[in-house]
Amino acid sequence: MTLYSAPTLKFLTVTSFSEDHSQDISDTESRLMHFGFIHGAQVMVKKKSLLFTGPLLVEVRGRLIALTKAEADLVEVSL
Amino acid sequence: MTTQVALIGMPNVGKTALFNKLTGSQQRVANFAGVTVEKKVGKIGDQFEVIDLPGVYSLDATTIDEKITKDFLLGKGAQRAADIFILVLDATHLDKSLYLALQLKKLGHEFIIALNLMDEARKRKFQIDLPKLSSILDSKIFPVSASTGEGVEDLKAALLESKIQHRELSVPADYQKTFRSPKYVNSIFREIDQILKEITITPIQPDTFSERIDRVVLHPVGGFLFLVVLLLFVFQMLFTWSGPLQDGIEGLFGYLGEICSGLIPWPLLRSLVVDGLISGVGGVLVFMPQILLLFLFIQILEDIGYLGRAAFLMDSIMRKIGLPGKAVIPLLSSHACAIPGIMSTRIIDNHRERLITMMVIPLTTCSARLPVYAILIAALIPDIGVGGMNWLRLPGLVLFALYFLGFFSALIISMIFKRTLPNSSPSMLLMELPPYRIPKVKNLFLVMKNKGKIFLSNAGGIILIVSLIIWLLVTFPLQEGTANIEQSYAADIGRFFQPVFAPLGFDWKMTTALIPSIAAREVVVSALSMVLSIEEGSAGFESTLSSALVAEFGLGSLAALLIWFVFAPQCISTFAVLKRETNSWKWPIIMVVYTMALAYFFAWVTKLLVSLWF
Repeated sequence: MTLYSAPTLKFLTVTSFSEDHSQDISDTESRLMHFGFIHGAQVMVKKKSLLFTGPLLVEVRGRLIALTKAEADLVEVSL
Repeated sequence: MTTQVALIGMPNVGKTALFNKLTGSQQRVANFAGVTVEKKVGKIGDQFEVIDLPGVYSLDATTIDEKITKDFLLGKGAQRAADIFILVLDATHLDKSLYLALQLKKLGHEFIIALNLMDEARKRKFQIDLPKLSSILDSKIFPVSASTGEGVEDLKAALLESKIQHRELSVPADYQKTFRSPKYVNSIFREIDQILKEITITPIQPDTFSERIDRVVLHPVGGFLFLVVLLLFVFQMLFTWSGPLQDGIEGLFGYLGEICSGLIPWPLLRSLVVDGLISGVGGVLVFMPQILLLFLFIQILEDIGYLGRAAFLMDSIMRKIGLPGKAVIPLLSSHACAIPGIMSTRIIDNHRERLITMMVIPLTTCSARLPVYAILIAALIPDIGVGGMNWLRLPGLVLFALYFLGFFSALIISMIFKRTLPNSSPSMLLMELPPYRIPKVKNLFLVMKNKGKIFLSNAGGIILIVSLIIWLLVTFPLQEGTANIEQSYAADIGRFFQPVFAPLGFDWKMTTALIPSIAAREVVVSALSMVLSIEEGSAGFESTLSSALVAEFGLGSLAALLIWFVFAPQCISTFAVLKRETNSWKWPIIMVVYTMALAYFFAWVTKLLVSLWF
């Protein structure tokens, strides 16, 4: 599942961006990785905005990151 | 020769606060070579020139601002590499700060480390082995607190002892691809985890304070209510708090004008000094309270850590019209005055989104339009209750409709710009929400002072020159030694352009009155009174002028004039500020052309409809 469809307040593990990732990395994906959304990282969706499939807040490496649905859909996670 | 010192670091590590502490009031703002990215430069004595580089998360730059910093660090592009780099790290978030430090080390970069927020780290019981960290990073580390000033003098002293950093960087040929490869990123994070294990004596306690506040401020319903109340407060603040100060400035310049009138016996020189120079300078300075208050407010929100939260709350709504969540602040503050509104678009990181916001700001109803609306509504709209409700008056409803029309047009035009302007950098929300912090009063006032100085030195000159040109146009040629607007060059221009405005029902008098309104919109009221020979400030001035306007111009033309002012090009001050902020004549000219076209079209439609109706 993607980060956007993941449940809130549950520990999740990032399954995207593995070291053998062969596709080109976009600007947004690059920024996501630099924030700590790397393969195996523990993350938690803290809040989801209610309006118009609005943005969500995710905790990663002790930091609170705000991201849109399009950005969150780039990150695959597992429970 | 001065030594150039560059401050680098991730966003929200307190880099600018440290810059302010290091350089104090010795600051100036310019642009980086070839781009319109703001470059803050300060001095430490005569020996050091300090540059506050835009914050970067990594060397894989995606925005124009980040590319500037990357070019500085890699010694590429148009930017001259600095002699000494100070890398600012956040002691409370070493896991994020170390990313950039390790990237730079891998390239063989030298730097001095300012480990900021040490006071907060201590409060949260965080203890680290500094000598060990210094040895791992092979750099001198200075624990500092930019907010309290702790350790800043030691850092300055270290600069005096520092040698110019000569560096032979080993930048990979395909560095962009390397910096964003998952293998590379993973290896840095693994290294960070290892370093943190080695240097941590007691781990940092979680920031429960920020979490507790976020429960209210980011609540799906309560968060919006909080934002609305906050913005209402700002509106009130801009109108009411700046009001007495603005009145004071107006009074001061009025008094100065009276003194000069008494002192200068030659009518022409008196008019030049009083109506040209003093009015021109006063016209600029009268905006200062609003501008300073707005910047104070924005800086407080930024320093506290709320701006990012406001952007998060508004993002989904604003993106529907092509703007980011942060745009709500400049758009709403423009209802007080477009100038601080345009200047506050600096909070928007994406160049295209910032440009769109600046371009639609002129459509929001600034306070200078109120006197014009008041006179024209009084002339056109009967003061009656609506639907039998006495408390709901028709003029008030029309005024609300005019405000709504302006704001709604801004939203429509931003959607058009969104589809037509090329997107040079990705439009991301993706940002870190910083922890809440208490702003430092000294820092707030320093920012206010510097921004005020920038406004006066850049926009003030243009405004003053244009004010003098307008004075020349409405004063000359003199009629029997005195100025007469009806026989002036402005009137000639009004008569010349009158055929263009004839479809809107504007005669030469109305067209002439529009010329001084280029300086400031509210001036159209006194210009209309001058061409209709009604003495301004006389008893019952407003009702006399309103009646005279209907008698002279008729309902259709007045309604067209009212709609003209909803869309018409902004005052010259806005034009000057837009030129300064975009560093180009192109965008101010586009703004004038499109608002003029909208004003002309809707005024023409209004005239047509009113003529058909009555």
